[in-house]
Amino acid sequence: MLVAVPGADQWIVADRGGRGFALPLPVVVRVTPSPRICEAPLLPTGYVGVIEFEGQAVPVWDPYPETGDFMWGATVIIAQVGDSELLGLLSDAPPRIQTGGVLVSDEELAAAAAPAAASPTKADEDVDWSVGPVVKAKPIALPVLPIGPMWDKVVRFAGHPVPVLDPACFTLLPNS
Amino acid sequence: MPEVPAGHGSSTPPFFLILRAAGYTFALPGNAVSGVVEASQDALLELGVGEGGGDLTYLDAHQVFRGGRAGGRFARYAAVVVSASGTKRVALGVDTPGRVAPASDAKVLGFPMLLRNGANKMLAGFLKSGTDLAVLLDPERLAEKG
Repeated sequence: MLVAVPGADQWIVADRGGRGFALPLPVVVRVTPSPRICEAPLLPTGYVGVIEFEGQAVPVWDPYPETGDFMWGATVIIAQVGDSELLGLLSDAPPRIQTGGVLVSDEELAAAAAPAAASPTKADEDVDWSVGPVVKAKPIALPVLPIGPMWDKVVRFAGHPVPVLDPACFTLLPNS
Repeated sequence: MPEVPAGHGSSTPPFFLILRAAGYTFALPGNAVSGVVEASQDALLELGVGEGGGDLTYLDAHQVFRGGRAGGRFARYAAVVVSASGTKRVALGVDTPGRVAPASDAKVLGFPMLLRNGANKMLAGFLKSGTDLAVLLDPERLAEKG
């Protein structure tokens, strides 16, 4: 069982279909490798079924359903949604714990989401002539956040941006 | 399997019937199932059920649970589900004749509120039998579909 260290900046970083997502470690209750997922019909969008966890049926949600069907042996990360509700998040492989995450500012997110500026790109701008013909390292582009109230932040780990999931927002979703 | 009168008298069924339909594993309370009928080799199940009586309606599992068109796949078996009043009967086309799970070995898990919507009211919860989980159907809601 994963244990959050109070005051420490710890995140769970997982992967689904080659796309990452991050959760603050304190909201994670358990990581269950290869649980038996009971698929169910007529569920709200994104949900694939349930797993049994400590005597209750816990919904399993696929962060990126457009990446295709999940495989047997997938990992489910169980997170606290409200006071008593739990939610399982599908991951292709066991997640890792990372520290040192820096949240991307709202301004930077808004700028990344805006259409590209009309300034022409010159090849020279990519080269640092002060030290010679060295190509400048470009910042890694921010990922496009999926639509939904649970996706509103991005955290960077050593320059690599990862969308952040907020499980508490799942109670705000209309169960269409 | 011959049909027997379904009894809803006790709230706790003595067993659950576990079956597969439309790619899902379902469970039905044993006291709401009067039997499982099997199609003969040269007759479609839907037609056979239709001849059984005016109060028995055939439900195509693919249509009900996957929103598909009726008749897309012809089920070989049908579980006959009876409402508590006994006035409504539906034959749910299924892929397997089903197996019995004694209630003493099974545990009903509540349906999570996060998953509830207007379309899935016939899902009553989940049944854990051994290490297996199945979607527990509400026979009353299912009978209303008929």
